Formats: sequence, structure tokens, C-alpha cells
Amino acid sequence: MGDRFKGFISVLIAIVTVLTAVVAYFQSDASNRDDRAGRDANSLAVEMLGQNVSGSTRSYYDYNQAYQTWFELDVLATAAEARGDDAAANRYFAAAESMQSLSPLLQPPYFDPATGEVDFTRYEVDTYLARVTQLNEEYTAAAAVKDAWDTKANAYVVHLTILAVSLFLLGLAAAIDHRASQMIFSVVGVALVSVATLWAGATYLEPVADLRDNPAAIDAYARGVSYAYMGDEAAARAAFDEAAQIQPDYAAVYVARGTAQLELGEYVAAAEDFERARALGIESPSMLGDLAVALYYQGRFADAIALQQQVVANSPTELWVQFDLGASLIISGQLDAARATYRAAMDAAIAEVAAANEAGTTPSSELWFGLSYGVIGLDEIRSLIADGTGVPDPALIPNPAAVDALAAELTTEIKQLTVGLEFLGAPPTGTLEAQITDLSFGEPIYGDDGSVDYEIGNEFESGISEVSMLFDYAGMRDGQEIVIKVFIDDKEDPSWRIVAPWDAGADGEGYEIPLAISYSDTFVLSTASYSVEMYVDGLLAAEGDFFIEE
Amino acid sequence: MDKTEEQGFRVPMALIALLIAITSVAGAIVAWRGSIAADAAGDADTAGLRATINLNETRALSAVVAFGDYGAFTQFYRNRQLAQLLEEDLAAQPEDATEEQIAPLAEELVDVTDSATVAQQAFPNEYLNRDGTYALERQQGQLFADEAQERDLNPSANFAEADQARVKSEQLLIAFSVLAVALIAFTLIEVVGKYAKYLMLAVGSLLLVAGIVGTILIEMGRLA
Repeated sequence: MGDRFKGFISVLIAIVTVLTAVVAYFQSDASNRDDRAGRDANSLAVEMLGQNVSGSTRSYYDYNQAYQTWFELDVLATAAEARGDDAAANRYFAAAESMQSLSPLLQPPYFDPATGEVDFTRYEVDTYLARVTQLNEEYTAAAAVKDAWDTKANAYVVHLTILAVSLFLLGLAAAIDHRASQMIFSVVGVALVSVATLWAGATYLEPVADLRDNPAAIDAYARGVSYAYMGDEAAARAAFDEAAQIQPDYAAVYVARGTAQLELGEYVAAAEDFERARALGIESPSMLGDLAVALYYQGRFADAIALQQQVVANSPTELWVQFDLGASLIISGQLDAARATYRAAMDAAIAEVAAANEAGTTPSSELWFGLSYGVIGLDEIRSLIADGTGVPDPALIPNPAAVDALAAELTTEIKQLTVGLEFLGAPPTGTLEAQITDLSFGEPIYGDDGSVDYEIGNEFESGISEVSMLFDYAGMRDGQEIVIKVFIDDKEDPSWRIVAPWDAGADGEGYEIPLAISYSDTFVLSTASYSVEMYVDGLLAAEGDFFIEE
Repeated sequence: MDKTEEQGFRVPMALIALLIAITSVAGAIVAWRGSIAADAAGDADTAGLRATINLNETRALSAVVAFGDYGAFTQFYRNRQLAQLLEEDLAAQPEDATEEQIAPLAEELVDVTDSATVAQQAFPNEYLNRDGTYALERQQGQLFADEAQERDLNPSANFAEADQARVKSEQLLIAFSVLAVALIAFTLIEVVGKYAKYLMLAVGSLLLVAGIVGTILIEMGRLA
């Protein structure tokens, strides 16, 4: 009986040894695949960096040197033409034309000689961005494969350890003569072998998907990203549809398609795509923030608030999501909570600037984006209330008058904070004592005797080259910091900014600040809506609008 | 007296001991060769990554240098074109043209010619083509070729070598496993009954030969 038992144990040990050899082979194979995928990921990351640098260098030359030189010659030609110097105009036009041979950007399909405009985004995409996107996806796929094989290899190490323990127990069972101990060791040993074998089998059968095996999906995704970069959201969506069809579990496709659909105003479809991406494991704050935006525009304010609160709790540095949370609260009539949320977001901005100042660095551009984004959100709510139509449905806004009043108050606060942080490095303090009245805009008309008159109005004909703002003032002090910001079609053009100390005394009438000056023969104000804000020591003192007609 | 002899089966213990010893030594050699192959795979991967970095660094730096030079050429080209056009306009002036008509053109010609002369110093003139254009691709190609003389810019060769070494290490692991099973077969001769002893001896011997021959073939590259 004893010899038979030992013989049985010996056979078991032999089987376990064979199993161990098999699992060791699996482990080695998984480890090799892990190494290979890791190598591919590193290699792709380096290649992506190289392509990005060389492509950016090329594009920088094409736009900032070749095109700018062409543009300069074209402007000189136009100016000469305006002066009546046809010979010079022809010279400059001929020189500009000859520049076109220097860069593909100055040739079709990127260049329109009739308008002198270049499709630079398309050029960037064709030159390197599409390839960089493709490499990025291949890198992401390789990294995922590496992770998967790494997990498998580590699991096999655990199986090998269990098998080693079971070998030890079976060896003990064979070595000792105590019957009960033999049974315990052999039963536990066999149980461990069974667990390790089943687990190793399950690990072996677990598939490792490699997106690189489906290059058509990556190609369609890269095309979609390229279209989105060029601002063609509909074409982007079609490309993402194709990618999703080829590779239904391609999570990045749903994020990108959701973003494209958000831009297209298809909020239900956008939310569905973001949810799909979430189900596939993507939980980035930016995507969750976008999902909340899609819910907000559907009027699902409670869902948006819950999600935004979750994002803000996990990622308190996402200022734009904090402002979105504030917007969701204010539009749903939770005015006290909204006020507190906006204040918290503004405090976060103040803290970031203070930390940057203390560290001797500059705050990120995300901060300024977040602050202007906050204002845009409040402006949208106010427009909804004023127009009575739009998305989300204005009928969903409880107590619109109170909402509008709070939105106006918060808008001013954020604007003032932005100017204070940007120009003074701290939030503005005190109350506004300056009084700016009768703000108007006018085109200067120069008399032969050197006198200047103004054609006052809010709408000007196309082709004017100068506009000034005119106002009466009181309560000013010399040395106060004046900041003028000009928004063209709701977007600030920093080249119009005026930052200067006040030096015109305490009060006066008809004070003129030239906004756009006629500095060349060719400059004209483009057709657009212009909004002007004037700040005194960081406090909003006046604002007004004018339009240039087509 | 061992059991084998007691039961009347003649498998000499000395032979079994010799086979176990041969199998153990063969296993150790296979494990050593496998370890060397795995190490070679790692080294080749590192060399491949180094070559990838070299390649992309060269690509990026040659773009930076070449387009920097091309930017200087662009200024030169602009001013040279304007100079040529001004010369043509000056030549086309009527004989009775006044000094006031000619002077601005002549001054501008001097300015743009001076600017062209200065710009011409800022890029390597050997890449100027006869037709006055710039051989950008030739410059980039030359920069690339110069680097290729100095450094390894071919990652794919290293990666292929790494893959080959990895396959070899896996094959040697299989050979090692075969020898391990042979070792078990020899060990079991002690405990199994009657005819099974001969079966174990046969299986063990077969696996031992298979493991050794397989290893030799792997080392000779016949199983790649």
C-alpha cells in the first residue's frame, strides 16, 4: 500500500513537472511578447516625436517664412497700386508670384491666388499631422498589448509559484510515513495543482487584442481626427463611423465622434458615444466634462450636475468643468449653489496665479481659457433668456429674471478677475469710482486744416480703416491702469489691446482713444461685430459694441 | 540490493545514473544557451531603440538645419528677385527720364541688392542650383548620409535580430522542457512496476536524444 501510494505520488510529481514546463513556456512566450510590444511602443513614441519635430519645422518654414514673404510682397503690391505706382505694384506682384515656387503651401490645393489665402490646417494634416495621429494610435495600441502580455506573464509567474509549492507538498507526502500527513499534503498539493492548471488555462485562453492588426480602423480614425482638425466635423463623423464599424471596441473613436457630434449640435448622439467610450474604460476628465455638456444641452441638468460634481471632486484643476457646473446650477435655478461654485472656481484661479507668482513661473493658458469659457457659458444663458429660444430649452429655466441678474453679476466678476490676474497679478480690489459716460464709436474725418471730426455710430461701412472710442469721464486719477479689450465676433483679438496709465486728469468730455489706426495704405477693418471693454484698475468701467457692415 | 534487481528486471542502476547525469548536464547547457539567446534579444532590442532614436534625431535635426538655411535662402531669393525686376525697370526707363524718376529705383535696387548679399552669407551656397533654386532635398539627404556614416540609423535590422534571438530562446526552452521530462522518466524507473520500467527507459532515452539533437539544430539555425 505504501509503495503504491509513493508510486502514485511520483507519477503526480512527474505530471506536475510537465505542467510546470508547459506553464514556464507560456510565461516565457508572454514575456517575449511583452518585451516586443514594449519595444514597439518605445520605438513608435520616438518616431512620433521625430515626425512631429521635423513636420512642425517644415510647416513653420512654409507658413512663417515662405507664405509671410509672399504676403508681405502682396501687401506692398496692393499698397503701391493704391498709391498709383503701377510699376512698383507690378514688380511686387511679379516677385510675389515667383515666391510660389518655394513652398507647396503656396501652390494648389493649399493656396488660392485669387484671395491670397492658404489652407494651412489642411497642409499641416497632409504634411505630418495625419501620420503623427496614426503613429500615436499605433503607439497606444502597442502599449495596450504590452500591458496585456505583461499581465499574462505576471499571472504565469503566480501559477509557477503555486506549482512549485504543490511540488514541495507532493515531495513531502512521498518522503514521510505518517498516513494522515501524507493525505493532507497530497490532497492540498493536488488542489493547488488543479487551481494553477485551471487558472493558467484561463490565462492562456484570454485573447490579447492588437489594434495594429486592423490598420484600416486606425487609418479611418486618423482621417477623422484630420477632418476634425480642419474643422470639417461632418466628414470627421463619417470617418469615425467607418472606424467604429471596422473595430467596434475602439474606444478613442467614440470619444472623437462624440466630440464631433457635440460640435454639430447632435447632443443625444454625442452623449451616447461618450457613454460607449466610458463603458470601454475611458474616464478622462475632459471626456466626462464633454459628456456633461451634451447632457446640459439636452436639458438634463440634474444628470449634468451629478457628473460635473464627480469630475470636479476628482480633478479640481479642471477650471472649465467647474464653470460648467456653475452654469448647470444657475440654469436649473440653484442660485446659491451656483454662486458658491463660481466663487470656488474663481478662488481656484486666484490660487493658481498666486502659486505661479510665488514660484516665479507663469500660469498655464488653460487658466485664461477656463476664465473666458466661464464668461461664454454665462453669456449663452443670458442670450437664451433674452431671445426666448435656443438650446437648452429656455422654458426649462426657472425664474429667468433672477438667473439673468446673477449671470450678469458673475460675468462682470469673472471679467474683472481675468483683467486683474493678467495685468495686476491679483484680483482687483476696491470699488469703481471712475464714471465713464456717453461711450460712443466714431470714424475720424480729417479736415484740410488739420482738424478732426468724427462720424459717430454703431454701424460703419465696409472699407473704413480707423475707429476711435469717445467718452466723457469723471472720478479718474492719473496713474490708474487702463485696459481696453476688443472682441471681434466674440473672440478677443489681443493685437487690439491697449494697456496704459491714465494721464488725462480727473474729469473731461469727448476723450478719444484710437482703437484701430490707419497704419498702412492697405489696412481696413474687417466685416465683423466688435465689442469693446474698458477697465480702470481691473474694474469694468464701460463696454460697447459696433459693427462693420459687409 | 535495489528493487529492480529484486523483481528480476535488469535495468542496471549505473546506466540509469549515467542517463540522469547526462540529462542533467544537457539540461544545464540548454538553459545556459537559452539564457544567452534571451540576453542577445535584449541587447539587440536596446541597439534597435538606440538606432530609432538616432534615426529620428537625425531626421529632426536635418529638418531644423535645412529649413533654417532654406529660410535664409528665401530672404535671399526675395531680394534677388526684386533686384532683377528693378534692374529691368531701370533698363526700361526712357532716355529722357529725370533723375527724380530714376533715383528712387536706383536706391531701392541698392537696398535689395545689399539685403540679398547679406542673406546669401546665411546659408550654404553649395546647395544653390544653376537655375537659382535651392536643393533642399539634396541638403537633407547629405545631412542624413553624413550621420549614417557615424551612427546606426537602421533599427529594423536590430529588431529582426532581437526577434530571431527571442525565437531561439523559446525553442531552447522547449528543448529544456523535453529534457526535464526525460529526467522525470528516468527517475520514475525506480518507482513504476515491471514493464513500465522499460517504457520509462525508452521514453526517457528518446526524449534525451530528441532534446540534444533539437538543441544542436537550434544552435545551427536549422529550426529557425
